[in-house]
Amino acid sequence: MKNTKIALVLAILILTVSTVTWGQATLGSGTPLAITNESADVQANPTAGGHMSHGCLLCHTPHNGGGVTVQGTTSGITTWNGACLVTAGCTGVQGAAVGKLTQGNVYLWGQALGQLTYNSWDSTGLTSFSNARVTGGAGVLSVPEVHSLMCLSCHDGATTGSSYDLGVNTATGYGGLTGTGTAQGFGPPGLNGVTWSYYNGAWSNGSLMNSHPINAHYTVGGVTLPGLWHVTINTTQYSVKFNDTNFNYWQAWSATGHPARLWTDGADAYVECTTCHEPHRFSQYAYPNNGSWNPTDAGTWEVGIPNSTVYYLRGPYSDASATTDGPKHAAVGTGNTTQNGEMNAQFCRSCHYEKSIEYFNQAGTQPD
Amino acid sequence: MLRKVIVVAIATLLVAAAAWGQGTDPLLGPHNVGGVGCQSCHEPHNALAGPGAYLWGRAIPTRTYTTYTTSNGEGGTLSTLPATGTGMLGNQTATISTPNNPGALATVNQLPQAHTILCLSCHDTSFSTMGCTSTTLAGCGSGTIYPGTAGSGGVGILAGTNYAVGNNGDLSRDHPVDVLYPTNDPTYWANLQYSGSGNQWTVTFGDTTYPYGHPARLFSIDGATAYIECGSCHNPHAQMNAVIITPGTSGTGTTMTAVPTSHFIRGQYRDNTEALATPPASYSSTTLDVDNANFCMSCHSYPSAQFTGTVH
Repeated sequence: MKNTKIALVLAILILTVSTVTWGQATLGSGTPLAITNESADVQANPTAGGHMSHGCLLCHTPHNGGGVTVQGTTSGITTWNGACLVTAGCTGVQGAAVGKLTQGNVYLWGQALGQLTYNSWDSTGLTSFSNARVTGGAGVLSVPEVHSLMCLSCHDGATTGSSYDLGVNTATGYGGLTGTGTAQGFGPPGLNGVTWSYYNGAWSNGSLMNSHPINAHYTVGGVTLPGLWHVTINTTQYSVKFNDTNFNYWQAWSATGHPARLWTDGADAYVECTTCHEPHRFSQYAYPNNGSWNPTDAGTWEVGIPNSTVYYLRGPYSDASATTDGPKHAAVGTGNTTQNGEMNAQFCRSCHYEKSIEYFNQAGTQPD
Repeated sequence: MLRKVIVVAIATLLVAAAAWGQGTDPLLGPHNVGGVGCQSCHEPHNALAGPGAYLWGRAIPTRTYTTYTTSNGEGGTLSTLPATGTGMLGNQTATISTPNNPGALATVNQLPQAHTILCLSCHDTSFSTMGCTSTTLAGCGSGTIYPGTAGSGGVGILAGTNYAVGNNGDLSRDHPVDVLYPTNDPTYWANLQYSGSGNQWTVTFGDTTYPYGHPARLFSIDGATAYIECGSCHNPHAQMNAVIITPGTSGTGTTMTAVPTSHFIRGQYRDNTEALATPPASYSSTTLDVDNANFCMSCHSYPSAQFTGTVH
């Protein structure tokens, strides 16, 4: 009887603790989406930005996402009852979106799209989304540029008050740039010392010309451009596969494959924002290769650096300069310079064949 | 006994892991500055303004360099691209005038001099970059940042007090840059080939007699003239690896061959004085002098066995 009472008390205690824990961890750092590790400013003001501030609703709306009024503005998300979810951004009339509302099957997107006409790195234009671009029954999967425009619907600087913009139309870039002088890049804050034009705001509206090319051809006429890896385009399922499956991310790791995701309109392969970035997984990458998946590995890349990625990149990437990133780099410590440059370079090389060790090992003749 | 083995194994692993974690990269070598990989030079976002500017992530100082003057009077000075205003790096719609293509709208990557100036943005000692201090590369992160030691080794193995090229704007002791390849000089290879259009051209050597090939990269904006820049001899993406194209073994076509190199040189070149962490197996060859001379002769035909003396 006594044991029964003790067991009962313990059970209640465990249930209570579990409930409390569960209640506090709904969007915790254990989820791939979590942004609690992204940067100190995000942690300090988690409702001002980040992909997980309000769950999936930050980007997607479960209803009224197709061709009807979207309860959202360019400056924030409003809920069904008009409440503002993104406090810093809700400066306009709730529900009165500026720009074009999402139409059709656009991933139930909850933000207005196509607010600007963008100029990408190579001076090619990237205009707003049009349903006319949808081909076949694949919906927007067959429209490569959508996979950039959705990102820009939040990150183009037209979202006033956000500190996570690319800064296209503001004086504040993603890296938290607010002044003149030594600049910070979009990547690890304070990495490089560009002393002018450090945010896109110095350019005409819509300029992305100092960002990596997007909506850019990876193939022309189905043929891979020089210096890049050969790919195969699935013209019915609108997917792109790297022919090579043996790209070794780096010498000390057995996993292979190309983490980047190319998009296709059924004829050519394109590079979009989400070629490098997977907006659903901040620090825990997972990418397919040759029929299986390479998820975030257990253990550590090297002493003090967990096997992970940063900035929603699709493959492993370390960023020791972001020592204030919170728990992700807590073990590294301030002033760490031991991040893995090879790993970071390999992420780029997984698309840029001519810069890879495979290029030199194969004397520039990659197999098909 | 087992405990000792485990302790030794763990210690070995820790040492190995620590050594591996020093930011090394088999291709970038010292260009993996601070262990950040491609971001040593490039930024994926908010990079240097200017179309085609290679997403350059470093500042370019406004200055004029004194360069080596060639025997035909070329060279002498090289000014950086304008940093602000209507210059290429400050305005996406700027019109760039070049001596050979006045008034033509060009992007940064199409400008021959860009392939020197981007290098100098780090190597001229005026840089201000992450982790780096003062006017040398000494503060740029941990590990071996640059081959050689202060006071003895510099870029190009020149003795000096730092690792810089273009220190204080002085390039007068360095191989000429931003000068035309002298196609009218019989001591250089003739028959350059141009392919492309507009401002975007690729230059190749038409010669097929030189067995070593012509790994140097010349830069052209007009399809008629070719410039020599830092990037002519150096491929900043690979310190010890190069791929060269040589005449086919049967006398027709071409063959691509991987060769060892050093100092980011585009062709086979071996320098045992370079502090290599993991030199290629063939690096210890005793034929260093020949290999190295071959690289120079791939541009300078006069010392080669294939020199004909024909006036172009």
